Amino acid sequence: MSRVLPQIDLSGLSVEDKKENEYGALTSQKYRYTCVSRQGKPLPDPIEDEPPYYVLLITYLNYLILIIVGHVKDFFGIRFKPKKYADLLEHDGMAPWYNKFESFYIRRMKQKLDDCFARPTCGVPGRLITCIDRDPHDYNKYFTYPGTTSTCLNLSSYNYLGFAQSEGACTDSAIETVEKYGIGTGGPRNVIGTMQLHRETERTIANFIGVEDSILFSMGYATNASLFSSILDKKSLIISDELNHTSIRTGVRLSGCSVKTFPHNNMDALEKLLREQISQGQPRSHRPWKKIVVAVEGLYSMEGTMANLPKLIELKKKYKFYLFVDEAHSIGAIGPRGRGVCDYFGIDPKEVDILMGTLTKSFGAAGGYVSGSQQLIDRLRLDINAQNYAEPIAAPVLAQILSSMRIIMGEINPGEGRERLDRIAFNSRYLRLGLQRLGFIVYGVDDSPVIPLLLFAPAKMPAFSRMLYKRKIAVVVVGYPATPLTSSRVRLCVSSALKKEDIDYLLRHLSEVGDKLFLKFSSGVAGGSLDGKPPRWNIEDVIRETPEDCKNPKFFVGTSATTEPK
Amino acid sequence: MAQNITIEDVINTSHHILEKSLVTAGTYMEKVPGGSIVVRYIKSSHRNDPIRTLLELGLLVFAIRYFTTSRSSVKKKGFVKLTQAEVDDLCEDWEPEPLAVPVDEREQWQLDSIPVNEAAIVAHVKLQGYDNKKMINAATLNFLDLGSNEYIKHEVQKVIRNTGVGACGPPNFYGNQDIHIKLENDLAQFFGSEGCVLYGQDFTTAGSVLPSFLKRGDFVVADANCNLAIQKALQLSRANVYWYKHNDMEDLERIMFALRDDFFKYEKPISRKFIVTEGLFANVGDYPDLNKVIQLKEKFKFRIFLDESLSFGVLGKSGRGLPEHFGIPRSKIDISIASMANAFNSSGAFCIGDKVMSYHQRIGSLAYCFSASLPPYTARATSLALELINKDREYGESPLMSKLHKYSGQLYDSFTNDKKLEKLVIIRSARESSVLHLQIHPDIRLRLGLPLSYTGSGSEMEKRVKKGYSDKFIEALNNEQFLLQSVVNQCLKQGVVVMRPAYSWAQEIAPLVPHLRVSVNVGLSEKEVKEIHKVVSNAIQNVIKDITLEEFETQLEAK
Ligand SMILES: Cc1ncc(COP(=O)(O)O)c(C=O)c1O
Repeated sequence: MSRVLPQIDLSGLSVEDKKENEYGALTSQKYRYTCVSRQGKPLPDPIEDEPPYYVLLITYLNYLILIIVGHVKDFFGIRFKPKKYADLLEHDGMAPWYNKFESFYIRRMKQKLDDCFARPTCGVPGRLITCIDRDPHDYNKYFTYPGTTSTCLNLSSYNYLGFAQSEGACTDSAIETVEKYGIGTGGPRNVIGTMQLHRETERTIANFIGVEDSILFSMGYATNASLFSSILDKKSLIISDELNHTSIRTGVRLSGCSVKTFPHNNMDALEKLLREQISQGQPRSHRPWKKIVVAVEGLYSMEGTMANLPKLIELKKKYKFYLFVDEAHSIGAIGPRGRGVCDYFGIDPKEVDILMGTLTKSFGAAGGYVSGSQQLIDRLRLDINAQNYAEPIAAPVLAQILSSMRIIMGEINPGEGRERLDRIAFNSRYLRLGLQRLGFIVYGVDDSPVIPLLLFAPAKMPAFSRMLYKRKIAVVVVGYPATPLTSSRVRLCVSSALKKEDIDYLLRHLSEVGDKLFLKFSSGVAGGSLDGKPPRWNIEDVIRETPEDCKNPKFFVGTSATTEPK
Repeated sequence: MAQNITIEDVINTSHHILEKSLVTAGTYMEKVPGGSIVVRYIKSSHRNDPIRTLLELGLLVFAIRYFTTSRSSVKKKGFVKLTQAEVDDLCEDWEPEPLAVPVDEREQWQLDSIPVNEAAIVAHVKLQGYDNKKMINAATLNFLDLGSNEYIKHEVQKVIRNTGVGACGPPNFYGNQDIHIKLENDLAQFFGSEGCVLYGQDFTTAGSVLPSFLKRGDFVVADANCNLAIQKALQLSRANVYWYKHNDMEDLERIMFALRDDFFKYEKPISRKFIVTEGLFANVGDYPDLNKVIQLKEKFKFRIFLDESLSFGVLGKSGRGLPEHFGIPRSKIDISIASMANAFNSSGAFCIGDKVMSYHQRIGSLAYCFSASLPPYTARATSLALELINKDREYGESPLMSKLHKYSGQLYDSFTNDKKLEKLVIIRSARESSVLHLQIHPDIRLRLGLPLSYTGSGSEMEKRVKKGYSDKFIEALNNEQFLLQSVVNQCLKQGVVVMRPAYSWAQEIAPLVPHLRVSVNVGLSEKEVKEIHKVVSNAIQNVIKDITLEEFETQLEAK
């Protein structure tokens, strides 16, 4: 069998089927929900459910065995099978590419799960995703390809609003743009690579968000990685949420400023830190900091939690720091009008100093933007290294951004944007409440389209992923080091493209797999239960009741828009 | 009274108190499983030696205090104790600087002079403000003019019709499609290497690849004129970095010798060591003596990291970059990275090398793991570009490449043979480079009182950055850039677009002065390449010839 990945021809599908596979038609107007603005009210403290002790014990045991067996194998392997371990040994006077300890986790755990990661796909990552089947050999050392594919329900792509499509207004516009503007740019933005289309898109983004101006970059990661060097220096301080994305941490490190972190979403700790830092000033010299930036994310993609924006704005007014919000996952996907966390909390976006976001997710495109005041954006245009050295964002991608944004704003196909927003809100709430009622522990805010379902024991990650793949459902499992050691999880990314019936199907299978793998541990404190007892609903009841109930805030605990924080 | 209390008394009273509390504590302790053992131990040790109990207790208290406070007390060292009210006052008084220094009127021209294209950016372009005129593009890095290729466009449209635009996920999470993996295989095959990894953007690639193989304690010897992406990468890696003089192999060897004597002789385990250089330097336009670099690398057991962003699709008979130019197999280069947005007219970048290194990137390289895959259509476009470069190769030379080489040589010769420019500019780039680098002649710069370099060691900018000044505006730098912009503007009026490369000056540590870049691409005719020389040469003569200090300064007042 071939070790070379086959190229898949998907042209056999009729246009109707293709459309349905990419974006399922709405089956009833009942399956919509318009998210409610919080109108400036902060979020109450989240309630996090804890699993029973034996679950944690098993999880630690899992790791303990893994570590002991791994080290024993390494110890003997290096001595008795040096050929097999050649990658770890010095060779010809040169150090190995990576050392034994750096790579321990990768070799001893990640490689064993490799068949659950990086599954090759083809075609549009829409409502369904076509994965190319492969057979692992020698504990995932290599794969062979039988040449078949599996079309799975897609809960893995960041396709929140379902704009990953190959039919429709966005695609038509992208294809047309290839004709007019081509696909290359021939140099950085500030040298030769700026097109009118760039400026138009930047203005549209600023309009969409409701700020003065914005600036585009060809990669979301690079946006953060280059931004901070232009606004911070060694006499500035950044206070960063401990769970901020790697790109933010990279950018901050490159800027050379001082960094402090606060526990995830803990506003009291943040305030304490602010008071301490403002009053103490810079270390040693005790001069006041030149400026302080607080960096948070709108929606945390591993947790499903949101920055507590109203509280942050309140602190900002008191302590005069600058606020940076990374809206990578929240822009488009969150808020009654899809304008991200500001919209969700009912806060004027001009109150936030830097609104960064990526276009990879809700808009089905690629790249990132920074938006804010004219003064900030003008300075960034001149100074930021991504404008001076990096490749600009390409024309077809710009067309995709422009058209998808205009659909959300109702300028193209009026009504379509509204439907997409309503569907993601409904789907997110339906799936979340359904999972809670079945007895799973899920994290995050009620309206979050990212739903992490907790597995705890690392051995359950591959089991879960493989079982669902067999049931034609594509999910992402994440564990240490992307999450804390004990909270391995499945991350379900909900999309507008999913139909209510797809979620029924998903819930049925998750319920079955959950029973088989012992995943239903919830105690009910975090939702799904009305009487305080652990919820263990029957799947039929869940599917019958939840689509209506999920629109009613009384079935959610604490974090819903209309419930008052106590 | 006080004098009458002896040490004996103190011990006795404390003995009593201790005994009492131990008895009460003991009753509680015995209820805890295993507690009776502890109580028994304490009792017996106490009976033998009451002072020892006291000491042990003291030790216990100290240990608890140490473990609970040690971390915070070390961190808080040097903190000033303040009352709540004082903190409130300080918070109220604190006034931050603005988030960004506003662009003032002296710099405004820089913003206004960024050219805006009205149509596709190919061999000929249309710029906003130039009445729809078709202009010669001598500013492009897309040397093979693949943007004009109808076949690629058509294929790209087909891919978008099949896959949409975005990949909507990182490579490890269902973001890699068959098209991406085909491109990785195509690139690996094209360069004859074992593995290839794609990245979403060129500028971040070095900064993601290098830190995944370099950690604290490792060694890097890098060319002092490396581009900003590499400078940033080395900053992130935390390795020990030594800079050798630009393309100076003796300096490189000297540093390596010194390092060997000081560090490598005794080290155990061996640290990772890299030579970092570029295929064609973005800042200068020349290339290193690869034979010598390889010889040194083998002698001192280093690895090579080569950034070929401007040399892929330019150097070598079939565009395979610097090693091909020197007739060296790619396997001698441990890591090569290159942009796909330049000669290949697509997006993203790639990294090629052996299998082990490639696999490790897929887990350890941050911009690969934590960023979305490239849009699939771009992967297809690069695969097609490789096909085109490879097509109709006669005698090992691709026709596309031979045309580019001819133009590059022609442009270089026309400028070096131009006697009128002799005293006005110097050319720093190599003849093989498709980008010509022109810099104002050092004599003129001296006459105008301009510094040797604006960045790098000993420069004004370095001082300001080190001291943490917010004001990074340097008058002379702004003026020199404006002078070059005048040359660019004159060329634009004559229908030729040339580059005044933009820099993030405050971030650079390489020694730089502003310069002009003129490039060729295969979409032009031979006559147009001649035209480029004529127009640029005239513009330089008009602007720079006989310029005096007063003129230089008054010109700037006027802007
Ligand atoms: C918070 C955050 N910022 C930035 C990024 C990077 O975006 P991109 O995938 O467009 O590079 C991500 C993507 O995962 C993210 O989650």
